Amino acid sequence: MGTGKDLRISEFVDQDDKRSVILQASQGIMLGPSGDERLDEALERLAGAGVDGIIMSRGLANRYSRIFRGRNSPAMIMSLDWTNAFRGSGHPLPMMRLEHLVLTTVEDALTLGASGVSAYFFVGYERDEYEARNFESLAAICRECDDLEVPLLVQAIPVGERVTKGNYADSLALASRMAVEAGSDLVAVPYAGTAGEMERIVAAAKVPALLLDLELKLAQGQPDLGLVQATGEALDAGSSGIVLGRRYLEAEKVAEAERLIRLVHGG
Amino acid sequence: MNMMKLNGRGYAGKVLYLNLPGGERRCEDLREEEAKLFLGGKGLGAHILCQNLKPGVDPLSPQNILIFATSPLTGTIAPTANRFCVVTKSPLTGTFLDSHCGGSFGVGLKEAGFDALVINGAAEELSILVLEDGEVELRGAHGLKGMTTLETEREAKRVLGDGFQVACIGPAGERGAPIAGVFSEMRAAGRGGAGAVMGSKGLKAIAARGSERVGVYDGEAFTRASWIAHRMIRMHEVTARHLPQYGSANILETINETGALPTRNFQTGTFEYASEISGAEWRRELWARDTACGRCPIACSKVAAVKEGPYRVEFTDGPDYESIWSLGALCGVSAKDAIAKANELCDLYGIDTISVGNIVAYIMECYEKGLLKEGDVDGLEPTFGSRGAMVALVDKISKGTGVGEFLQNGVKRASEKFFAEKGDGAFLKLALHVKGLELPGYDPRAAQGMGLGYATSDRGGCHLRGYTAGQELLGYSGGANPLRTEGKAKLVIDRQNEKAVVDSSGICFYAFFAQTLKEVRMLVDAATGLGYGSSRNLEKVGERVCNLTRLFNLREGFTSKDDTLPERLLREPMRTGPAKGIVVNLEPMLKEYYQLRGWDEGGVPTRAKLNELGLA
Amino acid sequence: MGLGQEMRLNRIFDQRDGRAVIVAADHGMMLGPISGVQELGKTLEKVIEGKPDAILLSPGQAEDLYHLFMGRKAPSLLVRIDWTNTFRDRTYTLPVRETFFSSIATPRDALKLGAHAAVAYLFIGHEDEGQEARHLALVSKYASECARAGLPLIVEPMPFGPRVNKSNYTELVATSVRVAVEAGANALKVPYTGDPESFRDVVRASAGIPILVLGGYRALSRRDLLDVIAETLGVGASGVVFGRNVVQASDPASVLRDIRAIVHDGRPVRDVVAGGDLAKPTRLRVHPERCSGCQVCTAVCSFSHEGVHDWNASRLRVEGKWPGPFKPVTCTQCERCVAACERKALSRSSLGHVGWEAERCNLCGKCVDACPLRVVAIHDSKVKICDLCQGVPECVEWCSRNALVAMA
Repeated sequence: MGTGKDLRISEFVDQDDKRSVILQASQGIMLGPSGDERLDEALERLAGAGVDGIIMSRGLANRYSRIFRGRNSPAMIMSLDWTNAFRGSGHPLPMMRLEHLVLTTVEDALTLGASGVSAYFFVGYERDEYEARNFESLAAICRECDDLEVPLLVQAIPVGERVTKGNYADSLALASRMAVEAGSDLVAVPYAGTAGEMERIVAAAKVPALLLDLELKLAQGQPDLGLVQATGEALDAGSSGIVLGRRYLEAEKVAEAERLIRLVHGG
Repeated sequence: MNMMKLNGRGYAGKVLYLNLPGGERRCEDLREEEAKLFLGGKGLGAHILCQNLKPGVDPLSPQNILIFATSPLTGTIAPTANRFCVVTKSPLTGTFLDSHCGGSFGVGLKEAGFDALVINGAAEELSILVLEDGEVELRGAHGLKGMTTLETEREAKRVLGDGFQVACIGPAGERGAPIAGVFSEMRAAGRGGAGAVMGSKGLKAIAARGSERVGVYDGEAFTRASWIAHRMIRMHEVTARHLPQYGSANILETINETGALPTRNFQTGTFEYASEISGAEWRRELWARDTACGRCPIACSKVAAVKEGPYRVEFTDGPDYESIWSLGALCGVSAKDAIAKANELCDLYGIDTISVGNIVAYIMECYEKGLLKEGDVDGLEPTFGSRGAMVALVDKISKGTGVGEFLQNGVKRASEKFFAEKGDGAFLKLALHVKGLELPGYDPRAAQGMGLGYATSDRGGCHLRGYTAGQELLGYSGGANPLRTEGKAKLVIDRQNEKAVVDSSGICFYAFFAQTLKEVRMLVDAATGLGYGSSRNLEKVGERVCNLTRLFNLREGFTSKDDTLPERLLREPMRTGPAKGIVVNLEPMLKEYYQLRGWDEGGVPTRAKLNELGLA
Repeated sequence: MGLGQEMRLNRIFDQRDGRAVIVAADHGMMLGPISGVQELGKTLEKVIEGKPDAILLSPGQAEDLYHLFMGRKAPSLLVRIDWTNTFRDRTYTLPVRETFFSSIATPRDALKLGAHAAVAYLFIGHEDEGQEARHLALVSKYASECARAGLPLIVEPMPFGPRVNKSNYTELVATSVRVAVEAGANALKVPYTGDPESFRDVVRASAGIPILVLGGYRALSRRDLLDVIAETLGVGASGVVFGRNVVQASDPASVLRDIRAIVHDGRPVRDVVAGGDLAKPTRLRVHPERCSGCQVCTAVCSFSHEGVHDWNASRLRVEGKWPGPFKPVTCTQCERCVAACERKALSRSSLGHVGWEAERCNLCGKCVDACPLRVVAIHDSKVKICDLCQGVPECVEWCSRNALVAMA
């Protein structure tokens, strides 16, 4: 990594414990608003709780810039792409065919003051061509990130019907490793099923691996541990922190968010 | 605080008028209107002199008036606020004379309770004036007769007690030599013969001491203004490094490089041995210590000693740039011990080094050109570069012996005497002076503005009034092209007005190198509460004073014909250096000068100008 | 200003007071390895202990030392993207004969390095006005590129050259500030004009763009340094950029702590100096060989204590007759006077200063007799005694010869 990347990554990875708690707040572009969310209040709550970084889409980054101002505020991580992967059956327009495309360039993100960028990499596309394209666009993002010295966080997720309980862990390992090989600087993966699996993924990642809080209904039979327990296991397995899903935007969830932050940063 | 009273606002608030021989005294309150118009120092002195002195008086007669003046800042923490000046009619030139001096006498005079001392008449016997806490006493000073300035100061302090500050004259002043100055702590009010006037009044010395507490109008603002001035002095290259390290001699090599170092009676502008008499050389060989005048953070004074050889010197002050130049390059001499010795003689016997150096150089050129023979100069062989002849001549002039008896009258009178005796016009041409005051160490052919300054200065050929050399030769304040005449009139006027303010406010010119009128105005307003409010308003005081002294000179019979330069500078092209081939193109500068000053073509201030300045 | 510029600027200026304490350590590029920047890493480690808000480096040093800037608690990184030879005066080797400036990095390069702002000069006063035009064109280009890159541009406008002099300097500072603002500067680094009134004009010329005062001179003392900072804050400056005064200090963190106390905590200067890291002076030390006999010390002592200039009111004296040698004689805080006082009118404070309480004193004079150096006296019905000026001895501040020094 070059100096710019190192400096920017240090804005959301704590220098003492080398861990990070990141909030995913860019779902709106993919799913629309969640209920009667008051996003500004939510962001302020969680910034106050001490999240290290917040993933935002470019449109709202400007709107909520005051959340990110100053030395003690969370870093802004800009989400670069869009997908319909998370539109489940409860959504008015549930996903029919997995689609993914890049909307924002790394340069734009940097111009808007982002400390890092975030992108998705999926495995489990119906057609291999889509995986190829997703990987291609990921690689292009990686090149741009290298060029501009911007750290890239990839959320590596197996999704779709080709992914089963049986092949879940391996699919996850594949997605994660591919993201790393493309050049990502951090990778976020959903719960792998067991501590041992998590360990394998962390070891294979070579870059900091975070646990991703994913509401996506898992393949049948995956235990739903709840993020707190999953986080404990993941940290023991060597992961570097967590990405909080959008459910933590709800007011009732802030206490749990604080607990998770304490858990990650030790306190 | 009573706004009308000036006491406690920098000023002591009192002017002492003393009539000799009787000793009748009259103490007058200094009025606020006067203070606002003339400030103090030169301005106040000029105002009092113009009011009290009739035109046409013989300067060495009892009718001349001798004024010692301090300024509102004198004695305060304003940096370099120690100055006093002597104001009178000059016996050397017949013009207005203000001569300034550092040391600590000014502080003593203020603490004794006086802003100015105005002396009329003459004492019957050699006397010393003792001022203490508002009281003045004239005492016989027979025991001080014939003493050097140093001996006089020491003896006076021994007899009167510690804490007295003393200004005195040497034997030359006692004799009434027109080039004699007033001395204090070996600093000199050197130019123009103030010492002769003091001697003609029978005053060997003045001693002052007191417990007057010098207060200011706005203590906080004054502390602030003083600190800002102090800080500027300690930040500025010249006042923080050059002057403390090398004294005023720090400029010598630069002046030489610019071709403006008058060498061998102004025959050329470069001296091939300049590097041997540079400030660094003096520091290396002769200077033992730095000393400072009262309240001065610069410490440009040096104490020189020569331990061995024919020119042993116990200690002498400096020498400073002008003395090193006039006794050195001007005479073609590069031997530091001889220069120090000659300087010591001038200091001890109490005469002006610039005048003396010019006289010696004049003799040297006359001798080399065959106009004078050994027999004319007591058997000496005064060629340029002869250290022995230079020291011998300085010795005679300072003691008034042999040929020194008439040479001590200054180069103008000496040249007139030779011309009258021998009939050769060359005698007159080789004497370099303006209005009788011998020229200082900047050749105006290499700095045109200085030429205008010399020609128009109120006391004759003086470099300090219109000191354009700073810009023309030393690159100060952005520099100015030395060889051009365009714009020089304004430059000279600005510098003259500013200097008049500096001379009326009580600070030293060197402090002013690091400051502008803005800082001086801040100091003056905070100290006095006179409310000038802007540098422009303060500059007006300077303009007023320059016009007042002009009126004095006109009254004494000087005309625009006297605003001129010696022929050598107007007609002989410079032979060497960057100004080679150049003469001083005075006429257009002078014409513009009169215009910009608001004077008519004859150099007389117009009615309109005088009204504007409140001098009508 | 775009979002990126705003975010990054807010990483430099403190959120709470809108001010910044910045250390400049880019001298090596302009002047060579001057003391303090020779081993820049070591120096910066000491500097960072003092918690500056940002540090200015050249691109090469930024690349080398970026590890010092990691993490949100670390200072922000400013990178200089231009260069000039104009500061290489006669005291340096190969001094400048003709002034030049050049661009050595682009705003993009700075951004890639992870900088939070780019810094560039803007000179006015060139004799060759074509140069001035070219310089302005370069800075405008920077402003445009910085806007595109989301990187704030901090401009250092400077009047320089033979056309600049004592009389026009202040006006030219204000002019250059305005030109820089109109060319697109997001913040300014400006030299102090010497007094608060004229600096107020400069701040007005900036039309609200934050001004950082640059401490390009060697301050006369810690008090002087802090005084200037306080003065400029008082007329609207938004902080300071100090270079050599910090980088060449023997204890850079101490200087920064004092500066932070003034800039961010708003403490009065006197408090900070008397109570700060500068070891509380408990003694005056005299170097008589340096004394010039100027008596500024005695004048300032009397004036600062009594508001008038009065020899008898000075708490120190200078012995020796002109022309020297001279010897200042000061209180040595031996406290025999305190011991001699039977009415406890003299006491020693926790900071070591001797104080006098008029109400308890009967002017018996025992303290005067007890003083071995005769610096205690009764004058005007008051006991005059050296109180070390409550921690900031004026005589030390005003001595231009370092003949009087304050020691712990």
